[in-house]
Amino acid sequence: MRPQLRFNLLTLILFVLAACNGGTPAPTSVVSACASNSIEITIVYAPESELYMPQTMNDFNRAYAGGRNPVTGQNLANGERPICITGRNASSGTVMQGVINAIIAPTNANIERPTIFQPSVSHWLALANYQAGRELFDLPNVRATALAPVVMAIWESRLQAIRDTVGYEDVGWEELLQVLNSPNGWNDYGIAGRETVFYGHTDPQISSTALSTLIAEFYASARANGFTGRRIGLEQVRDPAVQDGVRQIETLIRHYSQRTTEFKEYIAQGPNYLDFVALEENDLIFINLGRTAEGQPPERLVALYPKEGTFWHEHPMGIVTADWTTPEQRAAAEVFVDYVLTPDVQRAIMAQGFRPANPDVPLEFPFVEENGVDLNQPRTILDVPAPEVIASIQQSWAFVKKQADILLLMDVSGSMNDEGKIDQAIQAADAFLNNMEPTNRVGLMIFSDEIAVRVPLDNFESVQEQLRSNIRSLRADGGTELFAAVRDAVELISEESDDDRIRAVVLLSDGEDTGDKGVTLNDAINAIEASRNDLNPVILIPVAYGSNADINALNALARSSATRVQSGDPSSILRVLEIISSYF
Amino acid sequence: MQHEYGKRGESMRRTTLVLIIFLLVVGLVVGLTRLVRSQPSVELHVAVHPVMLDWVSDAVATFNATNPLLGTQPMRFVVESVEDIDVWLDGGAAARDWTIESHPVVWIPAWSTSVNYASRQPYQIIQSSLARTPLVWGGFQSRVAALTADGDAFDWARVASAAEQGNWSAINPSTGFSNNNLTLAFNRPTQTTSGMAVLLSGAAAFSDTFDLVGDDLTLADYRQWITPVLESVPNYNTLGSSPAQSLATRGASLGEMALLPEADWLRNLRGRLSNADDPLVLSYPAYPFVFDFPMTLWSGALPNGVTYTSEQVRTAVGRLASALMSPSGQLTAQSYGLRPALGAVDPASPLFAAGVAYGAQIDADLFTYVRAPALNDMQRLLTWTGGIIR
Repeated sequence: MRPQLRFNLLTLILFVLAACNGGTPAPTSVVSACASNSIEITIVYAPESELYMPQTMNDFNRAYAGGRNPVTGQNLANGERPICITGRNASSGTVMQGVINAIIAPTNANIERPTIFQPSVSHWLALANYQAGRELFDLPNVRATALAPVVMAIWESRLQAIRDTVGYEDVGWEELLQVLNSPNGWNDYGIAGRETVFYGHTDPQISSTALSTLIAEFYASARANGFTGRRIGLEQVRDPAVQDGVRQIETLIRHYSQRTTEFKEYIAQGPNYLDFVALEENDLIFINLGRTAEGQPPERLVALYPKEGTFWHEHPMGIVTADWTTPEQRAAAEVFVDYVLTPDVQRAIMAQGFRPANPDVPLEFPFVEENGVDLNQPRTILDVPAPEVIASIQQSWAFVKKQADILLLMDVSGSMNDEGKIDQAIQAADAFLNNMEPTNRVGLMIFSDEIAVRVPLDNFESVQEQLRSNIRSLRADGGTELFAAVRDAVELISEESDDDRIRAVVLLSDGEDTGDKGVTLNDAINAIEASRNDLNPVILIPVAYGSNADINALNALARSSATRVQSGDPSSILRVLEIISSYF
Repeated sequence: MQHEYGKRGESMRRTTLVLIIFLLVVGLVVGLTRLVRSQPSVELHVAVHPVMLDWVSDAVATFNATNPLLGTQPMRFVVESVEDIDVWLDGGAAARDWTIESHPVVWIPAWSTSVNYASRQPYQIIQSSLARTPLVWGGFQSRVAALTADGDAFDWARVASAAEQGNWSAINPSTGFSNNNLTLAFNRPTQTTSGMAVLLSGAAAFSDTFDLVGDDLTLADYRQWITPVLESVPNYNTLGSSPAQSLATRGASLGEMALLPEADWLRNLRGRLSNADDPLVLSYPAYPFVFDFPMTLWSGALPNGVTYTSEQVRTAVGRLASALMSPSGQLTAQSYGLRPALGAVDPASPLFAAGVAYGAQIDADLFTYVRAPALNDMQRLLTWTGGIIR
């Protein structure tokens, strides 16, 4: 071929190719920002969805960036705009309040204006509509995206012991309470060692699992008090006898927590720490797969689907109808929901322990008996109460929850002056008090060379100012009488605290014991273990503060109390103590 | 030689000239095409009932893929899901804010009566029916067997009496269901058309009539009879736009029986609904309630008297209607579990053929069906229902 002809043909081919390309952007592997012509939407999703949502969003955006509709797999049609989604996780209750605030209290610090709100369960969407007084969410058309029944995650040996003792398989709240009320607790069920029952759940003001669990407790108590109807109402929730029943269930509580994360880590340590915890089924699978920091649990956890009934958490995609979303964004949000329900995404979600919401995706691994789940369960689902009843149940929380006695034990040895530790600790201790229930009793004890009770245990409401002023005036100096301080604190709270309250010592320590009072680590451990068989054993929650804390000693103390050491430094101590404050 | 070179040079010049002309023509065509394409698309919105959403969306995607023009401007249909009840309940003011400036060009409600109910909205029927689907009872075989153990039919009367009894120990003491309460599933009647249709289907069964009038809906006996049915749904918020799909994933724990559009059942014969140990059983009410999906076109005018829906728009909508009503369009409808607007179901249609094993009646007579009461009577019934199922 002659050079000029070859050149002409090459030019022609390039020209035609360029014309045919039509300006379609080349596929990119990473989406760093939304394309300028894209429809931008946002999502706030439940914390447990963090396991799959970032990848899902990234894949969705990448498909559009490559000029492809991720649902159909086809190239974008003429005029079809790409969609770009960004998001983050947050607790369902907090987000619900933020969305409501955006409507009725736009100057509030907690404001949320997402296109999509994906809580764990639709209770929150119904509550949001109710509390905002308008249809923020089109409930009949909200689609489920990942299914998880709420279960009691219980050690297999414990569940078998209950079944062997009662003589039947189908157990629930009734049988769990029988263990509590049995004169010798677990010992009457053939389990040696600790008698008392250790149970935990999160905060129903912000956690879906806890809210569902609290509603289930109200049902159980209402039934025990003669309620035979289908759906509990305000009459039952306000009935003092029903509330007493819930209070009795709550006496099983070892401590609360803001987040499920704490409980997953706690219970994964083994039966000495907690007997059962209210979790979503996916969390149970997560633990049994050895995905917690503890790795494989020492025994299999199994799902108890209470015979009285439970709830499905369906992770609904609530598309917000409000002035911050346009019809175009809402339509784009529907496309994202379509995408989440595609079989490939559903299989990825299933791999994280959620049952698929798309029936085309059959249940496969990790849904196997070895992971403690029963695919024929749940059989009994509770009727969801009306929104105003759910709101009333939430409001009742303050007076049905287990009250706590908490002794804050703070290290004020000279080393706390290093790196500004004392100043940060003072701020953190102050923040620790911010969300304290007024009916809890709180005291302050400090130690360096000497041990001193600065504020004796008393109702928080009456000693709050005294606590805060004492904390703010703390000065660091001297040595570290760690073991003696722990012993004294545990003995003090054992003597002064009621037996039907959570009894806890929160220890903040930054160094090794340098004491000369002759008190050893074993003495401190013995003091803790002395209350082991009390209805509410004293729990010690050690916080290792800074890099010089005596981790080995604190671990030994934590083990004797069946808790875990929390670690913090000046930059994180505030958050650490805030989380611990949610235990009460 | 010079002559040879001269001829060759001339030939090359001709080739180059032809090539340049060709390139100019191609460039012109491509440029014009891109110019047209670069203009913003005219979007014509089509509001459809959720049961029709997938079929219409597919038809629209095919239509849009042809790069249609409205005059010289590119156009595309955009489909949105709309409940009939949102358009006419309380004048549609609360849920749908359709105005003369902003409204779907096409509205395909589930029920032709909705067009009458929504008389404030100037939609004119241009196709009386695109497809049909009746409300059908479905239940898990074990529950249906327990319900009908005494020889009763699986019908409104038996379900309503069981709902009144409340729990299985009373309904049939010999069952071992751990779930004591009878659980039913249908969407919230005050917010969805299929849920609302349950009320009317029940009223027809209770009053033994096809032609419902206001008195049928206000009868104290009827309301007392249907109250336990309404209260047997554990959670109206979790069923989604496809309750059958929810049952297919969550099984009898969500609902042991349900009264749902046949299309919803047929499209979800999978998961727990097709479980060989306890499959779905379908049963057709004696008084069928049939969704007929009329296609309507906005026929309002702007304040200056100019008809909004131009001839070009009408033509485009007409093409879409023709596609939906074509033999292949109607066959496609059946692949979504919808019956053809006219004529019989193709027995070979996969969803219907599969449904037969579960009790689907391919030749069900759906041309005599429950007729609607007046709007006021309907609104009063829904208000009363809202008080029952808070």
